[in-house]
Amino acid sequence: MTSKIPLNTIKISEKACEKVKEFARNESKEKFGLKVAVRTGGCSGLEYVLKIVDAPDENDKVITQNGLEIFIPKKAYVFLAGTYLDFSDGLNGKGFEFINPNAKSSCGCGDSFSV
Amino acid sequence: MLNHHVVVEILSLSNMFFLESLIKIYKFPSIFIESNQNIFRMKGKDAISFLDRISTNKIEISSNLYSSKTVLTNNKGSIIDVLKYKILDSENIIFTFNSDNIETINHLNKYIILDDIEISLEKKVIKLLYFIKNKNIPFELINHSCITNLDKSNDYFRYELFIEKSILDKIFNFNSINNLSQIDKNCLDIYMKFFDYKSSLSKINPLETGFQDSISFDKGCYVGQEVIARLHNYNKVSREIIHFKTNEIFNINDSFKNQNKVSGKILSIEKNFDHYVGLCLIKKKDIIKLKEEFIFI
Repeated sequence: MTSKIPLNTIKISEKACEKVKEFARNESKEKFGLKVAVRTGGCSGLEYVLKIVDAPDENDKVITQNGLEIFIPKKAYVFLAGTYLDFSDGLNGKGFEFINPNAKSSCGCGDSFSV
Repeated sequence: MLNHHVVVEILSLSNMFFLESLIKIYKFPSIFIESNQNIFRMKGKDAISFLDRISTNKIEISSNLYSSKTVLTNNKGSIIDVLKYKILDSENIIFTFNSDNIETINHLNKYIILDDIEISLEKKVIKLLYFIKNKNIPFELINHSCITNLDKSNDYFRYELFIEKSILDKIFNFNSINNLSQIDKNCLDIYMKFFDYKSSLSKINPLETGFQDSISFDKGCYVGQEVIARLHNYNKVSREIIHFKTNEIFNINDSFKNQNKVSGKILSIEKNFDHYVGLCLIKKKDIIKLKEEFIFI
């Protein structure tokens, strides 16, 4: 699945898209997008950032998938290229899950990674 | 790795007499001055949060302008550098670091992705080292733009002051203070188990080198936290710093073996009369084994 994702984009699963839209509806947002980014943090140095925002920032790359706009800051894109974002729910579900081919290692809880 | 055998004497407690004789030749207080030290500024609304996420100590704003110390580690928990810093306000931190190597600034810049931060060279200062036998510092530092650091070993204190020379000249009386040579300063540092962290040193955990006071064990994640917390919580720190004495010079970071297994590495070394003394980081289990107090390099 992830091996098919070209490095000039990221892919978000249908389930993850639906979950984002559900969160946005709960916040009564009509126009929104999903900000996907990384920042310094966690045990391995880089942690993922997911945020529902109104509009992209000036330096964001915009990708549309399954009717959802995804905004990725250009500085973060180098760490995210080729990433697959999925969502798993249920008692044993992990919530949003990043499958990132750039990550060489990740910390025990999986919240952060290094490249 | 050295390929010849050299006798090195581990200076354990039974050799405290030698260590005491090492320090008894010095007068206290004594000073040593290094010029051209860099102070940098980290500026931006994410400065405090960023430094907190990337280093071992809890970085938080305080009503007092105090200097503190934090350790930059990589994701394996190994030291990259040691930062001495002062938080000026919610958006400004001034700092200096042990190696004074631009690689450390490059490391910080590498991690600035989304954060609102700029790092710039603030000024060149001098570093005054002040060795004393009690904690009484003979001057008060109300100047906001200097950085201080205090380390203690046995009965001795090692006070570092990073300050502009013009300000130091006003607050400090250099008369009647013993001025140390580079060799004497290095020997005192060795006695106090203090070594200048060089960027050439690698794979050293801050728990092995006496930086416990600069590590917060309850602040949550930072780069390297997982490894450091595990070593601390399970009491798995396997190496410690000890003194050694030898007749042959080594290079910093040279490894040495005991029974064909790497046992540790040299952290610092200095000539002391007709021999050399230094600090090495050695496996604790090898110290116990070495009852004869000799190892072969």
